[in-house]
Amino acid sequence: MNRWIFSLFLILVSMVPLAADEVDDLLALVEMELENESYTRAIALLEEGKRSRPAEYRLYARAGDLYLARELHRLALAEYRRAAELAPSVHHLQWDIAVALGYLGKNGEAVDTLELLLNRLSSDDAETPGRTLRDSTIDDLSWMYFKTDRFDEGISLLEGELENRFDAYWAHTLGTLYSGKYSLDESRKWYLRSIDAALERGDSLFASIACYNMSLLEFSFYRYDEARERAMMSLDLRDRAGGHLVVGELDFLAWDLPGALESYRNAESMDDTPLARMDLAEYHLRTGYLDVAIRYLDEAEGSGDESWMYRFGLDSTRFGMDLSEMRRDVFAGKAAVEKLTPRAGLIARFSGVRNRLRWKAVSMYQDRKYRALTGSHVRDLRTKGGNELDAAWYAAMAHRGYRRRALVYLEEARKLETAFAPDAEPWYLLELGVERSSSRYLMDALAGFGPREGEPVERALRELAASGNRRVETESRDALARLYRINPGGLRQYGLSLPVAVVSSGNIPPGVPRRIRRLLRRSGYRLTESSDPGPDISVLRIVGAEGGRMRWYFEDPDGVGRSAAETGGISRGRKLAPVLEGLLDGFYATPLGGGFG
Amino acid sequence: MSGISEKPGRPAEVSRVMQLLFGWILYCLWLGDVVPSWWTWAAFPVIWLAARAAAGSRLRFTVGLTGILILPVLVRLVLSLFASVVDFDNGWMLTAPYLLLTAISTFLHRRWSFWRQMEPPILLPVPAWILGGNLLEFPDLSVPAAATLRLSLAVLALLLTVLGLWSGDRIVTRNRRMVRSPAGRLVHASILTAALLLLVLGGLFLRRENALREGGGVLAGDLFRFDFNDVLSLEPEISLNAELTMLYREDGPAVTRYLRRFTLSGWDESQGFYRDSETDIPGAPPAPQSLPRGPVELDAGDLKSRIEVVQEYYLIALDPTSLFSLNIPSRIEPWIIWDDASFSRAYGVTSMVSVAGPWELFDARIDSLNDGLRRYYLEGGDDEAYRELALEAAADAVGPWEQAEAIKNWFHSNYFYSLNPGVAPDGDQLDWFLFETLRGYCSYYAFAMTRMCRSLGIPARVAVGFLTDPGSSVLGFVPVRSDQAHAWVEVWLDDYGWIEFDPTSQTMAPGEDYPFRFINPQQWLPLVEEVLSRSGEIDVALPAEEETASDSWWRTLSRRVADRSRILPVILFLLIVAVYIPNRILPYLRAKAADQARDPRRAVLYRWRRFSATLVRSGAAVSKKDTVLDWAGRQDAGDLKGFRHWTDIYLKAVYSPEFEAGDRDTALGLEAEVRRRFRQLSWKRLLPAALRPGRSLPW
Repeated sequence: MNRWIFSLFLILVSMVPLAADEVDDLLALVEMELENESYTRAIALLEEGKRSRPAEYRLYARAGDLYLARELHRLALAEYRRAAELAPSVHHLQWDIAVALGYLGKNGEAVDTLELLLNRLSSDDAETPGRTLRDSTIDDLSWMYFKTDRFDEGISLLEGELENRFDAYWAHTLGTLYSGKYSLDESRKWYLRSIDAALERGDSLFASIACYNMSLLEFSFYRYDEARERAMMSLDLRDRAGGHLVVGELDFLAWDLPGALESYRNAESMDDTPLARMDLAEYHLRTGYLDVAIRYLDEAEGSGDESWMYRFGLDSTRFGMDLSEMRRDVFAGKAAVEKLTPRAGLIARFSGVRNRLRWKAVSMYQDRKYRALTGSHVRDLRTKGGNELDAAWYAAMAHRGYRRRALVYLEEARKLETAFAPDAEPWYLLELGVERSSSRYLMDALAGFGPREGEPVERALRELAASGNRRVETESRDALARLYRINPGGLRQYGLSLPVAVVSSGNIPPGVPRRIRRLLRRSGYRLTESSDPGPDISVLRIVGAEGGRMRWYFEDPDGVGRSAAETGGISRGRKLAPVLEGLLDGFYATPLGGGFG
Repeated sequence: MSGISEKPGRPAEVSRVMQLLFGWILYCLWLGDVVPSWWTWAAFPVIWLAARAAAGSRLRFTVGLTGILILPVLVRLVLSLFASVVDFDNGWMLTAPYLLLTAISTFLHRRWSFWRQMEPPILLPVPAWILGGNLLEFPDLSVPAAATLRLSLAVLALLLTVLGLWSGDRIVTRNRRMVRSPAGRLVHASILTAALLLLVLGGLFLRRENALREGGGVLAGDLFRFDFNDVLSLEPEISLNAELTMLYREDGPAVTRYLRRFTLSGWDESQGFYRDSETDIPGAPPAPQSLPRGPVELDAGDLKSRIEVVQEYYLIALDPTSLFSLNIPSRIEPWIIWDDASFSRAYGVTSMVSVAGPWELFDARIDSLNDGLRRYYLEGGDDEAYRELALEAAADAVGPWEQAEAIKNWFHSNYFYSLNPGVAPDGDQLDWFLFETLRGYCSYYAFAMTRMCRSLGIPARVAVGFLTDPGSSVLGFVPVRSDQAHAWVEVWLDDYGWIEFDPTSQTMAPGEDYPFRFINPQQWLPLVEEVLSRSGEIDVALPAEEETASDSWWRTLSRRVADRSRILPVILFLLIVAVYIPNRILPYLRAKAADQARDPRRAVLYRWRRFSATLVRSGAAVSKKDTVLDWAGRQDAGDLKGFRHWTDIYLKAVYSPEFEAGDRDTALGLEAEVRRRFRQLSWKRLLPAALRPGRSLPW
């Protein structure tokens, strides 16, 4: 019945042109319906209102607000634009348009709109007490300058305004702009001023965000203690996902896996962006849980539109680069693990080869996509004359494997960054070592990393172990053994494995050790004797037990059993391969949360 | 001896280039986010021209082929001296398979005559894969428009293939005669068409089976869209496929809703629960099972504690006639929406939804159903094992509502959710679930609880539809995915009507993870925007208008191809078979049959003809000017000594009134000899003989 009364009301509304105060009444009615979550009725009221008062901009603006709040940005933009056509003198609508454009990722258009708006707004507004539209416009415009890498324009605008009057929001954005230019002191100065101002007026959320950004700043200058301090301060002020993310990243950098996982999970539980899932994906990728990593990547990619990027210094290209890079690694890893997985029987082997080819193809596609996106990002940076360091760094990343050019860009980036952050040197040595396949560079990098830099150490060890350089065979084997101790799950996905000695004892079916050796050799494992010297020898022990049963143990170089199984007296390759696969999966697994070795 | 000579006609060249180019465009559109645009424009013509030049040159076969294969490497080498080759590699590494196919095919086309008939079906998988796998996205097009475009492209791909086959037959011989008759080509095309029809029928079957597994065992589907199954089937294993099926809209606080498609009240020992003449109010006319032509008022009875809830349904990958509603619908209002809508159908439903609380239902009775209905809703409840289990589950319960609630809670506490319930050794999936494994998905729970309720004398039925996720609500719109297909139970309580119970356990079976699926908001929020921006164009369909506004053929067709088909490999296989039927498979079958015939002539006739066709495929030139003996003599004088004699016996079998078993034996001996000699020919002749679809003999 209510529905028919409502329909009747709509008909009456549409028949009588609304007077101005009736528009107020209608808007009040819309608010009431929205409070009741009766969206259909609220929207119908607005639509009827628009039909009866087509020149009334407030109806369009309200519809725009409603859609913007529900992330229907295209609709919101259309409504705001219509409202702005009807009321060109209402400046706030231009600001709304710019916000909607920002959410839609049309940053260039947003900048144009805000610049026009700023020109139209009287400077007298600046004297109005409190925060005026002009204040917000300056803040948003300078933020958009940051997002479009137009740092100098943003800095010039804000410094000009800050000379006349202090504004915590502007100071914060100015700090961010300086961080984009890698100007530590200036950036830190303005962040601190904005934090002080926020704390003075009791705005803990703002202060928490500023502390988080300052933490990122310190992080980018390799000042990990300061970064952690700021991140903890941010969390003390407000328990936000961002703070947990930075702490997690610092823990991950220090290769404190349990700490990192806990922080990432805390962040994920309160994060409305995909950033925590991206970090979790990377965590699981590096520790060998590739399917979990894929799941997080899928979630990150599929769980929201891109409007969240409006609030971050990120755009769809950068986000796409991160996604592609991780997908490349994860699928290459799956192919490598498959290669190192024993398969017996025609169907199993065919299926293994098919999977490897498929995953390699996906990895190759993601690699090319990463390079294409990175190339496009570099072109953008160079065109805008923005951040030279980022441009050089990403150019090097786009040219990874193209040694000559990659080295040119790496050296350029190294020169630019080490000039203001000498702690970056080992990171560049690592990259140069990888690019040059140089053990010397890798060992120099290893020597240069600090105690809070476990993650690059893990990578350097892996590269060293994979180098296969005979001149540094001892170092390479040491690196492999060390790598296994800190991240056993991260070996096979890069084609690495410990040499295996197969030892059998007791009453086991004849031919089993031979078949096991053949399966392992065919899968790419290096076989050795248990008596061989070496820090990296693993031992597969097969023990015949009573009743024809067999016990299987996989021991690490320290002689500690890492995986075990018990089977009947199997001897056929097709039965042995799955047992071996299970043992190897257990042996090459980093316990979730760490606590290994 | 030379093969059939040798220059393809212009139509053949044009059609094959069109086919190659078409595949290339699709390929580059697919990988357009990575492949640089300059590569898209430049690579194909360069590789095609190079391959043509190499094929037309005097270079030896292997040298020419190797030359075009290393061309990209040489170009890359030169480029790397001046510029970064990342972009080159982005193009080359991703498009190399197609470019190499283009190069090799173009080369072979001019060098090997038999390739001309092989090429079109070999090129077809590329567009079939890209279009069939929905790899191309058209974000700026509405769903029907995109589906129509895909359909058009698929038809074009097929037409180009048929054209290629057709033109490939137009091989000009030295004396400029065409070998295949127009009638032969007509037969060829007819067989292709028939194969396509077969494919559609086969696809319907496969899609239905696949949809059942992927739709939680309750969704059925034809080749192009989903609907719910009339029968509750218990599959040993299902997967969940997250496809956007519709948008559901309802005002008010977002709550979980059971969007009911069917109720399955009928019971039959052989098929379990099935859809029968369903009503919500005893004695009322059967409720519509599909969307009516115009607005319909329904009898929702005069039940206690029910409130009116208005719903809107915007169907996407669902049968446009499928009618959903909350329990119990009182009004159905089909709509006519905008022409270029992304929805196959939209309609509004008003339902009277129960809000009765436990304190009301606690003492509800079940006396009002007449004997006939009571018997009907208790069928299948006579199994003692089920009754014992139900009594155990509802041991302390009093009254029908409490008993049903106890059974539901018992399932929640003691059973596990599993997508892989396994195969029952004795074939009884329900018993296997209920008494052995304790793990299953929604259909198992609904099936079991309904039978257990019935065994206690409580009228119950199964309901199937979708379970909504209120967490994804935006302005009252909720996306509904195919993996939200669900089955639950409705129990009759006097004065309150059919009350919903969901016995499905929320606890995953040990060792299993629920495969969470997502639909990116970017996929469905534009649809919400479409509804909001164009809701002013919605009209209520009157029965007559609905008739005239029924879907145009192209919309129906485009909707039908909107679903991705997984039967493309089958289509391809059948297409290949179709190509081989007339001149390979049929002669083989005829020859086999003739071997068993009493008449000695038949074996000789069919064996000779089959071998002669093989000979032609191997490149033994034949023209209409040739007589059989001319042609056989030429082969005999070449490498196949004895063939002329065998041909004499063949002609005797055709024309002479006297033909004896001895002649057949002689022919068989000669055949063995000739075949032995034939096998000694070079691989260049044997390979085409083995692979070419072949053509009919002119005699």
